[in-house]
Amino acid sequence: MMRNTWIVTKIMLKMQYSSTSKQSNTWIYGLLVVILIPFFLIIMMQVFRSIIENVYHLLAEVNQESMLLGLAFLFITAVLLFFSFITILSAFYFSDDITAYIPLPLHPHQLLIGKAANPLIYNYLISAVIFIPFLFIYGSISNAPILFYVYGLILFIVFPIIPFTIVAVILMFVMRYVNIAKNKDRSKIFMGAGSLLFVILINVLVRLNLDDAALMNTFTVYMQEQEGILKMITMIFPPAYFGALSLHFAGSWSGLPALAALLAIFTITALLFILAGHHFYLKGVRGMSSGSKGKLSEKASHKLTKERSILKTYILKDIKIIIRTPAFLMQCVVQPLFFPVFITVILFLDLGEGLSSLGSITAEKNLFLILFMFSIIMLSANATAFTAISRDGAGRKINLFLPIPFHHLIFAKLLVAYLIPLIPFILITCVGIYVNIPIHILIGWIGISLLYNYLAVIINFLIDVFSPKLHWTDEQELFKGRFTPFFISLVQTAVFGIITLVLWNTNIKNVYLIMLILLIAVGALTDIAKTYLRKKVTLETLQNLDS
Amino acid sequence: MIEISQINKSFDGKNQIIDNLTLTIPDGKIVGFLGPNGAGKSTTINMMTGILPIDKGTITLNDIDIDKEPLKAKKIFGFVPDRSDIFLRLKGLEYLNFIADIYQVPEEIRQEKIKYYTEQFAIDHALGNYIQSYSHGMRQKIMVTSVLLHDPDIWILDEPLTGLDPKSSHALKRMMREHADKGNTVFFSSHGLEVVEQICDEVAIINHGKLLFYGTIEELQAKYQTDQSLENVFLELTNDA
Repeated sequence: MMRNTWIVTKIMLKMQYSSTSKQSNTWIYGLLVVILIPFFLIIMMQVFRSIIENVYHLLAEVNQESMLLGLAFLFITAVLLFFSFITILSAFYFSDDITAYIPLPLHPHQLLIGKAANPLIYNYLISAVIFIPFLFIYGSISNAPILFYVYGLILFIVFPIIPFTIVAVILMFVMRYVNIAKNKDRSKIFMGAGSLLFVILINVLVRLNLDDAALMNTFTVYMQEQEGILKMITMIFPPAYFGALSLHFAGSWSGLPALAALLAIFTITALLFILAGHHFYLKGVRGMSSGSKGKLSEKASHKLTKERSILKTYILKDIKIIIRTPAFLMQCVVQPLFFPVFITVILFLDLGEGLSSLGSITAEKNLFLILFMFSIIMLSANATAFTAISRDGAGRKINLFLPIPFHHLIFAKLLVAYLIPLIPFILITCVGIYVNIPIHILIGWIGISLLYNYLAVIINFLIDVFSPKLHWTDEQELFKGRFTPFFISLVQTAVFGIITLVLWNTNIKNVYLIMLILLIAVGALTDIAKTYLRKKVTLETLQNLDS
Repeated sequence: MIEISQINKSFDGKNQIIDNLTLTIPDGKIVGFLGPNGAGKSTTINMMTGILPIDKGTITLNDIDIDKEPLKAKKIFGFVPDRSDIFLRLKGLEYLNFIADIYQVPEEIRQEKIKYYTEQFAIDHALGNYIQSYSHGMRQKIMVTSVLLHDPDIWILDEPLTGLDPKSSHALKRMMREHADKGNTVFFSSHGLEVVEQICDEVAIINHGKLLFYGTIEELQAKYQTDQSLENVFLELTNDA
């Protein structure tokens, strides 16, 4: 029984991460991991240590330092919930490979555990980046005993599974009913995104219904109680409460019951997950790929045969395919939306007026630099651009034998990749307006971000031209095991991160000068990238993609 | 007319996939392109259509060099590729309209042609559905229909009859004949020797990237002094017998 589960999990992971094409440059990734990850951890530790230290001492004065632990767990939970939605939808429902496993003599939960492996790896990676630095910073500030780190390790192993199982159970339940819908692709997307929006909506409604005066009253009451604030803020998600409590009392025996409570919650959610898998999963998956029927009316037929220019028709074709293919929609459109949505949620989670006055209290120069780095993180990995050629898969030949002018083809691909990331960018701009960012900073930021987006599009497009993934049978494969875009995005973040750090620490106070310097830097790099693209990407490059 | 002149192709710089191939496909004829798997048929067709660059030699379509004036050359041929599982997320009609836009076929003409050809191939009822929901044969039919929309002088078809039902296969063969009889060129690759025997005016047989024979079936039989079927001559010629 366990053997079969292990075999299925191993095969599924192998399918996820192995590549059919020759990978002679894997050592580069290894090297980048060795260099970049410690680099980012050091930067994060540097940046967050002083913030955490200040908050810790402030809270310790009123005996409420455990609130910091609670906030950390809530933050991790929010991030894991969002990412679980994407990874579970992709792995459980948008990947067609499940049809190959259904005929095998396996229990649904065995398939489910196999399918869960990849989303869980993501969850662990995310918590490793957030939780581990936090654990060590908090531990050293509070002079924590060794047991604190032992509990920390147990929590690191157990905690990421809880948000995962909750999301999986919700999605399995919802997807069970998608099968009866007519247009299955569309329903899959609506149901998936809908469940996510539902969770956000509930969160927002809960927050909106709290009136400030009553909140302050409660706050004062809880303030007087030991670990009162922790209890108050983690009320919405008890595992965060128990996690924080177990760490807070790691030095004494009272940490143990909290840890036991968390393990009990973990066991219950894990059992629920297996139960839901038995009852809903296969029912939700079977028959998902079948199509619909219907004859077009004369009017609809005429509407669909309108004459358009080559450029317009090509752009529309690409956009339609992205929107209609669940895997593309999730990776190219929905996933980039998560970061801005996440920021918006944090805004609503904010109990006071702290964030909404952020724009007016931060120094202009620092505010602009923070916003600039926001753009880099948000726009540097552009899934639409790094799959621009690969998305065509078997249909790529059509780009070559149809009489499409080469510059039209490249322009259409770049334009689609440029436009799609603007959706999350518009959302984050609205957040910017909400937090009262001064208008001149806002305009400068939008301008430089629009230029940077162009640079990111070209970089990601070049990645796809020079290391495309053309031979896929399932759209999900396009995003499996492609680490280059991720690393190039890290490199971009590192390069602009260093520029930003240098500017942050210089004596230049004038924000316009900062804008000008960054504009020149981004502009120059864009020009280099554009020239490189023109020189290196020709019709012959596309003809030789296969060889 | 298609003129292939001393073309060479190698993917690794060592093994010649196409070795000094020269072939002229005249107007007004249906020419079948035969060869065992891996003989170089698809590579040749890919070079003819601009999908692959040519290492050495030239290919001209109605005197236009595909390498020098690719855009001009691509406008005069219609190509049905060997794979029909493309653009699966587009509806049948959307795909046809996309192709009509690329070839800039006027609205009225495209509507008229789409109606005519999709009725001929009995896929008019499915135009509002995604290609993903089509059977292999239906996908093949939509590909063939897309080629007919802009009325190209030259038809290049890679295994066009695979997966077609008898009625559609008959309709396509009739269309190929009519097109050639108007003085146009029809060039198609096939594994179905019976079909080739049935409709081709001339055949080109290649193996290991080299042309083994070009001419009529009668000339083929005369050359090998036999009255055997094309299948037997083919097997003998390509050394697979």
